[in-house]
Amino acid sequence: MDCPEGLFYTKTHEWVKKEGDNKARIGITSHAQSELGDVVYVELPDLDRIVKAGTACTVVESVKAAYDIYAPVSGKVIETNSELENNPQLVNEDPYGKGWFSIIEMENPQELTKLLSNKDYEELCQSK
Amino acid sequence: MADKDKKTPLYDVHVNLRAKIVDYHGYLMPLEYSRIISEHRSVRNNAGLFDISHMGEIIVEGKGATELVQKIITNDISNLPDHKAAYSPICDEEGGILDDIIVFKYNLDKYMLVINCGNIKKDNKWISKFKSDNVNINDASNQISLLAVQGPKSKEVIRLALGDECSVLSHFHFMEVTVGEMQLTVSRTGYTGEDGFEIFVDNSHCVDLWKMLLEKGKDIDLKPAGLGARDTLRLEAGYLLYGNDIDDYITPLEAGIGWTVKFDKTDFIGKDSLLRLKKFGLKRMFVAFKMRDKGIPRTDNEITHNNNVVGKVTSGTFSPSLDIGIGFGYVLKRFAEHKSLVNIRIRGTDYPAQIVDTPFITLDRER
Repeated sequence: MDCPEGLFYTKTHEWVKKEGDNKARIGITSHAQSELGDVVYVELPDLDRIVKAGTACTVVESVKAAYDIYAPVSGKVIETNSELENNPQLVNEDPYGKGWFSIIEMENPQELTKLLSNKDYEELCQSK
Repeated sequence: MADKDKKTPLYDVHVNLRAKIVDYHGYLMPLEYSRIISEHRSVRNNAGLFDISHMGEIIVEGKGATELVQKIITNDISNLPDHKAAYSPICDEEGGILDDIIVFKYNLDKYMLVINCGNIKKDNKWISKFKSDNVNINDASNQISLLAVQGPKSKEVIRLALGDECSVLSHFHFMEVTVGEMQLTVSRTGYTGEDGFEIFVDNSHCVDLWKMLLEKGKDIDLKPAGLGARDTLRLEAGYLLYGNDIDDYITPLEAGIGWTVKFDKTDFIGKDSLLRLKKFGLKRMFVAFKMRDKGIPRTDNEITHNNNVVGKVTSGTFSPSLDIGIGFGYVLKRFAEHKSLVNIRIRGTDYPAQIVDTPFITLDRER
């Protein structure tokens, strides 16, 4: 299982990388991209949008269907990955790197403690 | 669906190939072995091998076989030569499509009806209703497996695996052939828009045939392809899918397959209703559309025009060949006739789409 250490994970297969004091870079896990199949479109949130943890903030479309991606933390969207517009397959090719979705300025960085470690997340995926 | 988790003889083979398995009308079928787009491209550029053993087969045999088939289908097979197949809807009395099938004519007294797996019980029951004493109906769906070799290089695979004679079959023709211990029915048919073949085999030899085809197709890089690619391929080719694009509530006239309804032939079920519909005109019509730019249409998206809902999407996907969203749906007749620019409402946003003719792509099919 390919889940880098040091990232936070959700049960809904998103990852979070804490950057600085209150910024969170988010994306979906390798397990998630593999389940989705070929990603052909990513609908990213508008900049400055306020998102709440656990609510849908991005849509990923594979050939087969559209899937909601949930905000792992609450806050304001301050950056999105414009590369995905022309190269949505980056989500498949490099889910933890070039396939990132957005950066959220966290309202409450304490929310991160509620998320899963890579070990917990791996266990979750294997128990399925 | 009463039957659940049914498996084709190739289930373990698919699992060993690490296919993603999905439930399709009660059958556990391979969705993709690698990725849908690469499997799609294999079929368009080269050749792909599909397990489509979920499809149903009904054998109609006896002196009254032709009469029965003619009664239940809307197409006319009276001039169909032996060993040729034909596409046709089966309609109910109201003209609603109960199934769309391929009729294989062995001779005047024997036909094989290849039907959709979701309709096996319904079709058997329906056809039995109209049978006379001089016909036997045998549902062979659970004994017969079906493999499809599709793509521009499928002819070469078939030549190497099954011999020259099979590889030069004309489009929609079929033959019976014995290869080793396997007794096969081979047809030049398919659901991808490419040149291709479908091979009917007894369940007991299905795995052997699969392995043999892959082995013989090795040099031309024949690859297994799943139901995911089958769906994108059929959409690009403009083929309807029962349950999505057509069902009991849609008639062939609305579905854009009016050419399969032969009013001039002897009586058939649904004729009066379809004649009436033809006379009084259609309200809605089938259309194929291509997104102008962004947006991937999906089943049940609304089709709008100037903010009014004018129809509904029945199938939609991302087209790997065109690199854009494509779909099918039904719209109010005037929008279909004028080939209007419409919108597809996706998650509350309207995205422009152009109504187009099918197929979406140029198919270079060898006949």
